[in-house]
Amino acid sequence: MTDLVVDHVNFAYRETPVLTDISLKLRPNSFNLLVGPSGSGKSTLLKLLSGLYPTFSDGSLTGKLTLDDYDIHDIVPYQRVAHIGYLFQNPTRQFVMRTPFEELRFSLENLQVKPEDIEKRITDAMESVGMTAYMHHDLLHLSGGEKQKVALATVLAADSEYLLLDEPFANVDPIARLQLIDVIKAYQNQGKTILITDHDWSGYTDAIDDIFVMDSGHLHNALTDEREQILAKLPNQPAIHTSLPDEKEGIITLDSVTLNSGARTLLSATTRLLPEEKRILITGPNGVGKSTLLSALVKLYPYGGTITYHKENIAKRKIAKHVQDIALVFQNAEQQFVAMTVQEELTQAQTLSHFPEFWSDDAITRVLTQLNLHGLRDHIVYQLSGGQQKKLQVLLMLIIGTQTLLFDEPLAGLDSISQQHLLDIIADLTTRQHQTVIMISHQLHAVTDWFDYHLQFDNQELNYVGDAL
Amino acid sequence: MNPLIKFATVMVIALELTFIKSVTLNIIIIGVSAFLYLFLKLNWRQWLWLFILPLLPGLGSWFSLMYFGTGDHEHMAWVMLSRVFAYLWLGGLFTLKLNDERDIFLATLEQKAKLSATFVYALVGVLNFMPAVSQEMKTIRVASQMRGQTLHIWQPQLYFKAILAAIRWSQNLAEGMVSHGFTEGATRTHLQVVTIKRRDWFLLVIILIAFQLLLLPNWY
Amino acid sequence: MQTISKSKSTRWALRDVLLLAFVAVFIGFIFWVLGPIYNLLSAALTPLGLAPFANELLIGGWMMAAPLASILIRQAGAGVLGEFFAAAVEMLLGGQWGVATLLSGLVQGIGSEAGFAVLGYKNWGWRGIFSSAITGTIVTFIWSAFRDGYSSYHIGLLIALFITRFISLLFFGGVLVVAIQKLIEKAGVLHRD
Repeated sequence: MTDLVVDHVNFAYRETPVLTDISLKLRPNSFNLLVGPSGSGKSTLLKLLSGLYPTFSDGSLTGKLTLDDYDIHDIVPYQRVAHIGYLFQNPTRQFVMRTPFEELRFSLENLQVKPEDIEKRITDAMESVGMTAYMHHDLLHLSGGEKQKVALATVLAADSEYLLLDEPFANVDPIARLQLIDVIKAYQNQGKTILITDHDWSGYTDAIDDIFVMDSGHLHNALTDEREQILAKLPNQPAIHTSLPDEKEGIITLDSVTLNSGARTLLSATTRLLPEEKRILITGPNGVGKSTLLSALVKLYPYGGTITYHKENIAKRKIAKHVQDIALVFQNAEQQFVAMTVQEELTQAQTLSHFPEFWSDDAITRVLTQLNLHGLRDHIVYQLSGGQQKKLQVLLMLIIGTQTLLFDEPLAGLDSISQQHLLDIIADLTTRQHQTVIMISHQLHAVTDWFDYHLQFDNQELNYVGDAL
Repeated sequence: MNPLIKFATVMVIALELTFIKSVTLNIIIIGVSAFLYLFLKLNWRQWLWLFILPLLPGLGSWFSLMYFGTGDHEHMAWVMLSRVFAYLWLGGLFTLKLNDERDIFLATLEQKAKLSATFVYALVGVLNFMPAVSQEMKTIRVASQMRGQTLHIWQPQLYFKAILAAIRWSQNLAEGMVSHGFTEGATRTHLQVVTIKRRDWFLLVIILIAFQLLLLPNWY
Repeated sequence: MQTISKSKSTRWALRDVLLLAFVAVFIGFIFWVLGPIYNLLSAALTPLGLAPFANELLIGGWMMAAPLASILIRQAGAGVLGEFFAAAVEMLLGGQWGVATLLSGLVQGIGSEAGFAVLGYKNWGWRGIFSSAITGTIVTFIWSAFRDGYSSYHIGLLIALFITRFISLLFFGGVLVVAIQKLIEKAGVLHRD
């Protein structure tokens, strides 16, 4: 067993400390859970342990971060990966090749595994995650859960002693989650050491040996009391209170709409209407097709059947005109910026606003202050943090005031206070501007009473659900 | 035939064609390619592609040379028309089969041509990202249309956005590759070891010699 | 265990090669989308015998990958490689010139890069960029003399073609690239080691 040492590690990103004086000791063959609020530095620690940081960041590192006395990031990747395996939070992020087979082969060839052993290791790893049937499928068309299984298989095939998992189930449906947990437990039983970050440890509470708590860049080992407290606090799915729509007309209607990804059906013929001036939530497992549906509504993804907007077939509407009425707040905020500084962006949005009389300079300043962006007016938008970019992007789209706004995970990556602020602002402004809101979100704690209607996207179906009267 | 050898053969002939002003020779190339296509079992779309695609640039050159040429320009007009067809038909021998032969082509580049794995897998990674690139370009345009701005081809913002995506994606892909043990300059093992048959080398030499001999007569 | 020695840095770092490849693909796509427009223009000009002008007008765009690769990577060979990647993409997308695209890509890359080379690979600002537009025009025009049969044209048409090409390169490969570079610098999104 190689010796992984984390001793007085500090990591700063553009002079902002992310990790402060971190020391960590993992017991051999243990199962470790790392908890903490989002943005507290958990991912950064894992990336440092995997050796990807500081190479793939602009951050600066001090302290001792070694594997058998070698600096982790200095070890050549093919040897490092043989000792420390790392699974990204977002499975699409880590694929290089086209099919699972090619991906595993690429990795094993890098690790200089003997050619005669490669095929067996691929088969074994794919078998352990139950994905042999997908060996030669196109990775692009797999669901979120399937992708994560392949990603895990790639890491398992490397047979590393340490396995680092960064919220591995964040993009995975409940069934796949349980399957993945079993695979990881079995891997630990082969004498491996696991370190996992997660918000929800239901299903593997018994397996956990040590718990580490990260709080604003400080790490400590949870002792008996705190440990019990954490383990007892299983995040329960909050109940969403919505009613079923009784409108006869919708601003958007779907008529026998189908969606496909390659040969896979995402949505089978569905007829639904989405009422005007309401807030509609869309939930469902990742990779099920929620984002694809929003893309189809703005004509960025091909679909079958008919979609209408204000009774007009959107296929017949020019895209430039169409998106003046229905706009998507993209998951990736950078895609939506058109200028350089925060102020330039705001001015641009102000000139094009559908509600120019409302969006005075004072009004903008007021909202900026609420969002904690006030001091950043002359900052370059591409230099802002992810959370700041997201808040700015949402604000810009609200200033434009497009009649229907589609939000793709606007709360992801924000701390809970920011989430609440942002939701309040969206609620206030969209009501004032008579906008229709359609939102994909997994941050259900923040939104329990916020929505009028709730669409569930699952098993190729899109259905309204509701409990309130 | 090994696709890299085929590629080399095709490229050498294409390079020579650039400097040869002969209609006959171009037609011979087209004829030989057509003969080979009979064995490659093309579908009708591919045949259509072969006939239609060169027509526009071919005729474009033909008309210009007919109108505005000097000296032996009528001959040159026919040379250009036939040359465009020759380029595409010759190249098609390589490109039309590339989908099936892609892996072995890249493996040959890595193992036999000793091209650095960094380049080979950059190419592989980027090829796998092609569908995503096309989607990303659409998204870039529509995302700014949602902000009320249309990005045109003569505006630097369009390219800036594309390059920004390229910067982010290259970082991600590099991170993905390294996390899977890819090491610059290190040796890799190979599940499939590529061998180039002696017959392939022999064919390469024969074809190139035969082509040089074809150059000897003073063809039209 | 083997470690990466700090002194030994590979000339072509993985991240640079990937960036270059992605830039080439994105530029390739932007101009591939233009394909139909080019074809229309070219078809309209064909009966007049002026089809080559369609090509001349857009060549600067097709060649943009080279100067962009040079200013992003700032290394000898980047321009040639970037344009070669772009040509490979165009060929695979089914360009009209087949394998000849690769040869042209190589020539275009060399032509463009020559501009940075004559300044000793020291100037990556507007001087280098415009210098590359000039050498790019000259080198590719010589190539066209052979490949496109330009050597058989009237001198008047030849001059007009040359000027059109030069303007196209000055705009796409010069003015536009300088503007793009300014945006990238200002945004601070590229971190050179």
